[in-house]
Amino acid sequence: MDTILRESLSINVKTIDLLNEQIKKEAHASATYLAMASWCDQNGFTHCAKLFFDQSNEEREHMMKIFNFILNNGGIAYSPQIQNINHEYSSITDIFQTALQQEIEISKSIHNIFLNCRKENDIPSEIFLNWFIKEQQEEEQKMRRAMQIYQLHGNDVENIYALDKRMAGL
Amino acid sequence: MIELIKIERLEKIFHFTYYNKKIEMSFCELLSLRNKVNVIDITSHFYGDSNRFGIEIVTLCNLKHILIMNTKDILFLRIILEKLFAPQELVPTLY
Repeated sequence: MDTILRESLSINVKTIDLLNEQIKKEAHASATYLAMASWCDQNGFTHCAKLFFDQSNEEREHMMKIFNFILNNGGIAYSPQIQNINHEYSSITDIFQTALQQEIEISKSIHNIFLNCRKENDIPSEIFLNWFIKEQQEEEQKMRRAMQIYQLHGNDVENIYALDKRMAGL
Repeated sequence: MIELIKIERLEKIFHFTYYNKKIEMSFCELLSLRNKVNVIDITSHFYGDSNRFGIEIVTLCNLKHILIMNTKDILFLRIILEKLFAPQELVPTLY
Protein backbone atom coordinates (compact mmCIF):
# COMPACT_ATOMS: atom_id res chain seq x y z
CA MET A 1 0.00 0.00 0.00
CA ASP A 2 2.92 2.30 0.79
CA THR A 3 4.10 2.28 -2.84
CA ILE A 4 0.68 3.05 -4.33
CA LEU A 5 0.07 5.70 -1.66
CA ARG A 6 3.40 7.34 -2.42
CA GLU A 7 2.84 7.09 -6.17
CA SER A 8 -0.62 8.65 -5.87
CA LEU A 9 0.07 11.40 -3.32
CA SER A 10 3.00 13.78 -2.94
CA ILE A 11 1.83 14.95 0.46
CA ASN A 12 0.61 13.26 3.62
CA VAL A 13 -3.04 12.21 3.64
CA LYS A 14 -3.64 13.78 7.10
CA THR A 15 -2.26 17.06 5.76
CA ILE A 16 -4.87 16.85 3.00
CA ASP A 17 -7.61 16.47 5.62
CA LEU A 18 -6.35 19.51 7.52
CA LEU A 19 -6.00 21.55 4.35
CA ASN A 20 -9.57 20.73 3.36
CA GLU A 21 -10.67 22.04 6.76
CA GLN A 22 -8.60 25.15 6.12
CA ILE A 23 -10.40 25.67 2.81
CA LYS A 24 -13.66 25.89 4.76
CA LYS A 25 -12.14 28.44 7.14
CA GLU A 26 -10.79 30.63 4.36
CA ALA A 27 -14.16 30.50 2.58
CA HIS A 28 -15.93 31.41 5.81
CA ALA A 29 -13.51 34.31 6.31
CA SER A 30 -14.14 35.52 2.77
CA ALA A 31 -17.90 35.49 3.32
CA THR A 32 -17.52 37.23 6.68
CA TYR A 33 -15.51 40.03 5.09
CA LEU A 34 -18.22 40.41 2.48
CA ALA A 35 -20.79 40.83 5.26
CA MET A 36 -18.52 43.42 6.90
CA ALA A 37 -18.20 45.27 3.59
CA SER A 38 -21.97 45.32 3.32
CA TRP A 39 -22.35 46.72 6.86
CA CYS A 40 -19.70 49.39 6.21
CA ASP A 41 -21.35 50.44 2.98
CA GLN A 42 -24.77 50.70 4.61
CA ASN A 43 -23.36 52.77 7.47
CA GLY A 44 -21.40 55.25 5.35
CA PHE A 45 -17.87 53.85 5.76
CA THR A 46 -16.99 53.81 2.08
CA HIS A 47 -13.27 53.22 2.39
CA CYS A 48 -13.72 50.55 5.03
CA ALA A 49 -16.18 48.84 2.70
CA LYS A 50 -13.55 48.81 -0.06
CA LEU A 51 -10.97 47.43 2.38
CA PHE A 52 -13.28 44.58 3.28
CA PHE A 53 -14.24 43.86 -0.33
CA ASP A 54 -10.51 43.52 -1.07
CA GLN A 55 -10.04 41.35 2.02
CA SER A 56 -12.87 39.10 0.90
CA ASN A 57 -11.21 38.60 -2.50
CA GLU A 58 -7.88 37.93 -0.82
CA GLU A 59 -9.31 35.22 1.43
CA ARG A 60 -10.84 33.57 -1.62
CA GLU A 61 -7.43 33.63 -3.30
CA HIS A 62 -5.92 31.96 -0.23
CA MET A 63 -8.62 29.32 -0.41
CA MET A 64 -7.89 28.69 -4.11
CA LYS A 65 -4.16 28.40 -3.44
CA ILE A 66 -4.83 25.61 -0.95
CA PHE A 67 -7.42 24.04 -3.24
CA ASN A 68 -4.99 23.85 -6.15
CA PHE A 69 -2.16 22.64 -3.93
CA ILE A 70 -4.22 19.64 -2.85
CA LEU A 71 -5.24 18.81 -6.42
CA ASN A 72 -1.71 19.26 -7.79
CA ASN A 73 -0.39 16.79 -5.24
CA GLY A 74 -2.82 14.01 -6.01
CA GLY A 75 -5.43 14.65 -3.35
CA ILE A 76 -9.13 15.50 -3.51
CA ALA A 77 -10.08 19.10 -2.66
CA TYR A 78 -13.65 19.77 -1.50
CA SER A 79 -15.69 22.86 -2.29
CA PRO A 80 -16.82 24.26 1.08
CA GLN A 81 -20.28 24.99 2.44
CA ILE A 82 -20.60 28.37 4.10
CA GLN A 83 -23.05 28.96 6.92
CA ASN A 84 -23.66 31.25 9.89
CA ILE A 85 -22.31 34.52 8.56
CA ASN A 86 -22.91 37.34 11.00
CA HIS A 87 -24.24 40.61 9.56
CA GLU A 88 -24.86 42.41 12.84
CA TYR A 89 -22.18 44.66 14.31
CA SER A 90 -22.50 47.31 17.01
CA SER A 91 -19.85 49.71 15.64
CA ILE A 92 -16.94 50.06 13.25
CA THR A 93 -14.58 49.25 16.13
CA ASP A 94 -16.55 46.08 16.76
CA ILE A 95 -16.03 45.09 13.12
CA PHE A 96 -12.26 45.57 13.24
CA GLN A 97 -12.05 43.75 16.53
CA THR A 98 -13.93 40.82 14.98
CA ALA A 99 -11.73 40.98 11.89
CA LEU A 100 -8.58 40.81 14.01
CA GLN A 101 -9.94 37.86 15.99
CA GLN A 102 -10.76 36.09 12.75
CA GLU A 103 -7.23 36.56 11.43
CA ILE A 104 -5.78 35.29 14.71
CA GLU A 105 -7.93 32.16 14.50
CA ILE A 106 -6.81 31.53 10.93
CA SER A 107 -3.17 32.02 11.94
CA LYS A 108 -3.58 29.47 14.75
CA SER A 109 -5.11 27.03 12.32
CA ILE A 110 -2.26 27.43 9.82
CA HIS A 111 0.33 26.99 12.58
CA ASN A 112 -1.42 23.82 13.68
CA ILE A 113 -1.24 22.37 10.16
CA PHE A 114 2.42 23.40 9.91
CA LEU A 115 3.26 21.60 13.17
CA ASN A 116 1.36 18.56 11.97
CA CYS A 117 3.47 18.57 8.78
CA ARG A 118 6.61 18.61 10.92
CA LYS A 119 5.33 15.66 12.91
CA GLU A 120 4.50 13.69 9.74
CA ASN A 121 7.72 14.65 7.89
CA ASP A 122 5.61 16.28 5.17
CA ILE A 123 8.23 18.68 3.81
CA PRO A 124 6.43 19.84 0.63
CA SER A 125 3.41 20.94 2.67
CA GLU A 126 5.62 22.64 5.23
CA ILE A 127 7.31 24.69 2.49
CA PHE A 128 3.89 25.52 0.99
CA LEU A 129 2.63 26.78 4.35
CA ASN A 130 5.60 29.13 4.87
CA TRP A 131 3.94 31.63 2.54
CA PHE A 132 0.71 31.50 4.56
CA ILE A 133 2.50 32.07 7.85
CA LYS A 134 4.10 35.27 6.55
CA GLU A 135 0.84 36.35 4.91
CA GLN A 136 -1.08 35.89 8.15
CA GLN A 137 1.40 38.07 10.04
CA GLU A 138 0.65 40.86 7.56
CA GLU A 139 -3.11 40.33 7.79
CA GLU A 140 -3.04 40.48 11.59
CA GLN A 141 -0.92 43.61 11.49
CA LYS A 142 -3.36 45.29 9.09
CA MET A 143 -6.40 44.60 11.26
CA ARG A 144 -4.56 45.44 14.45
CA ARG A 145 -3.53 48.81 13.01
CA ALA A 146 -7.08 49.62 11.88
CA MET A 147 -8.53 48.61 15.23
CA GLN A 148 -5.97 50.74 17.11
CA ILE A 149 -6.73 53.78 14.94
CA TYR A 150 -10.43 53.58 15.76
CA GLN A 151 -9.89 52.76 19.41
CA LEU A 152 -7.57 55.74 19.90
CA HIS A 153 -9.36 58.33 17.81
CA GLY A 154 -12.87 57.17 17.05
CA ASN A 155 -14.84 58.59 19.98
CA ASP A 156 -16.91 61.20 18.20
CA VAL A 157 -19.09 60.96 15.12
CA GLU A 158 -17.07 63.40 12.99
CA ASN A 159 -13.85 61.60 13.73
CA ILE A 160 -15.02 58.11 12.79
CA TYR A 161 -15.94 59.20 9.28
CA ALA A 162 -12.72 61.16 8.89
CA LEU A 163 -10.77 58.07 9.96
CA ASP A 164 -12.57 56.07 7.28
CA LYS A 165 -10.37 57.80 4.67
CA ARG A 166 -7.25 56.50 6.43
CA MET A 167 -8.44 52.93 5.85
CA ALA A 168 -7.71 53.36 2.15
CA GLY A 169 -3.99 53.42 2.96
CA LEU A 170 -3.90 50.14 4.90
CA MET B 1 -17.87 -8.88 10.94
CA ILE B 2 -14.26 -9.13 9.82
CA GLU B 3 -15.15 -11.02 6.65
CA LEU B 4 -18.28 -8.97 5.87
CA ILE B 5 -16.39 -5.71 5.37
CA LYS B 6 -12.93 -5.73 3.89
CA ILE B 7 -10.71 -3.92 1.45
CA GLU B 8 -8.11 -5.83 -0.52
CA ARG B 9 -5.64 -4.60 -3.08
CA LEU B 10 -4.76 -6.26 -6.34
CA GLU B 11 -2.05 -4.19 -8.05
CA LYS B 12 -3.64 -0.78 -8.54
CA ILE B 13 -7.29 -1.77 -8.02
CA PHE B 14 -8.95 -2.04 -4.63
CA HIS B 15 -11.63 -4.65 -3.98
CA PHE B 16 -14.09 -3.41 -1.39
CA THR B 17 -16.39 -6.09 0.01
CA TYR B 18 -19.36 -4.73 1.89
CA TYR B 19 -21.51 -7.64 3.07
CA ASN B 20 -22.64 -9.24 -0.24
CA LYS B 21 -21.62 -6.33 -2.38
CA LYS B 22 -18.27 -6.33 -4.16
CA ILE B 23 -16.98 -3.05 -5.52
CA GLU B 24 -13.84 -2.38 -7.56
CA MET B 25 -12.30 0.97 -6.79
CA SER B 26 -9.37 3.03 -7.96
CA PHE B 27 -7.12 4.79 -5.45
CA CYS B 28 -8.99 8.06 -6.01
CA GLU B 29 -12.33 6.41 -5.32
CA LEU B 30 -10.89 4.85 -2.18
CA LEU B 31 -9.64 8.27 -1.05
CA SER B 32 -13.14 9.62 -1.63
CA LEU B 33 -14.65 6.79 0.44
CA ARG B 34 -12.21 7.59 3.24
CA ASN B 35 -13.31 11.19 3.27
CA LYS B 36 -17.02 10.36 3.14
CA VAL B 37 -16.71 7.96 6.07
CA ASN B 38 -14.59 10.42 8.10
CA VAL B 39 -16.96 13.36 7.72
CA ILE B 40 -19.95 11.42 9.07
CA ASP B 41 -21.04 12.98 12.35
CA ILE B 42 -20.96 9.82 14.46
CA THR B 43 -21.95 11.63 17.69
CA SER B 44 -25.38 12.32 16.16
CA HIS B 45 -25.95 8.55 16.27
CA PHE B 46 -25.68 8.67 20.05
CA TYR B 47 -26.92 12.11 21.07
CA GLY B 48 -29.76 14.28 19.88
CA ASP B 49 -32.63 13.55 17.52
CA SER B 50 -31.03 14.25 14.15
CA ASN B 51 -30.02 10.61 13.53
CA ARG B 52 -31.57 8.47 16.23
CA PHE B 53 -31.40 5.27 14.20
CA GLY B 54 -27.75 5.66 13.28
CA ILE B 55 -28.16 5.05 9.56
CA GLU B 56 -26.06 6.73 6.89
CA ILE B 57 -26.37 6.53 3.12
CA VAL B 58 -23.06 6.79 1.31
CA THR B 59 -22.65 6.97 -2.45
CA LEU B 60 -19.51 5.67 -4.15
CA CYS B 61 -17.71 5.87 -7.47
CA ASN B 62 -19.67 8.76 -8.97
CA LEU B 63 -23.05 7.45 -7.81
CA LYS B 64 -22.49 3.95 -9.26
CA HIS B 65 -23.00 2.39 -5.83
CA ILE B 66 -25.05 3.20 -2.74
CA LEU B 67 -24.25 1.82 0.69
CA ILE B 68 -26.56 1.89 3.69
CA MET B 69 -24.44 1.79 6.81
CA ASN B 70 -25.17 1.56 10.50
CA THR B 71 -23.02 2.89 13.35
CA LYS B 72 -20.96 -0.29 13.77
CA ASP B 73 -20.26 -0.54 10.05
CA ILE B 74 -19.04 3.07 9.94
CA LEU B 75 -16.76 2.65 12.95
CA PHE B 76 -15.34 -0.61 11.61
CA LEU B 77 -14.74 0.87 8.17
CA ARG B 78 -12.97 3.85 9.73
CA ILE B 79 -10.55 1.46 11.44
CA ILE B 80 -9.87 -0.41 8.17
CA LEU B 81 -9.28 2.84 6.28
CA GLU B 82 -7.10 4.30 9.03
CA LYS B 83 -4.82 1.24 8.84
CA LEU B 84 -4.80 1.32 5.05
CA PHE B 85 -3.81 4.98 4.95
CA ALA B 86 -1.28 4.76 7.79
CA PRO B 87 1.46 7.37 7.33
CA GLN B 88 3.63 6.69 4.36
CA GLU B 89 7.31 7.63 4.21
CA LEU B 90 7.50 10.88 2.27
CA VAL B 91 10.95 11.39 3.68
CA PRO B 92 12.78 8.37 5.03
CA THR B 93 13.97 8.70 8.62
CA LEU B 94 17.74 8.84 8.95
CA TYR B 95 19.16 6.57 11.60
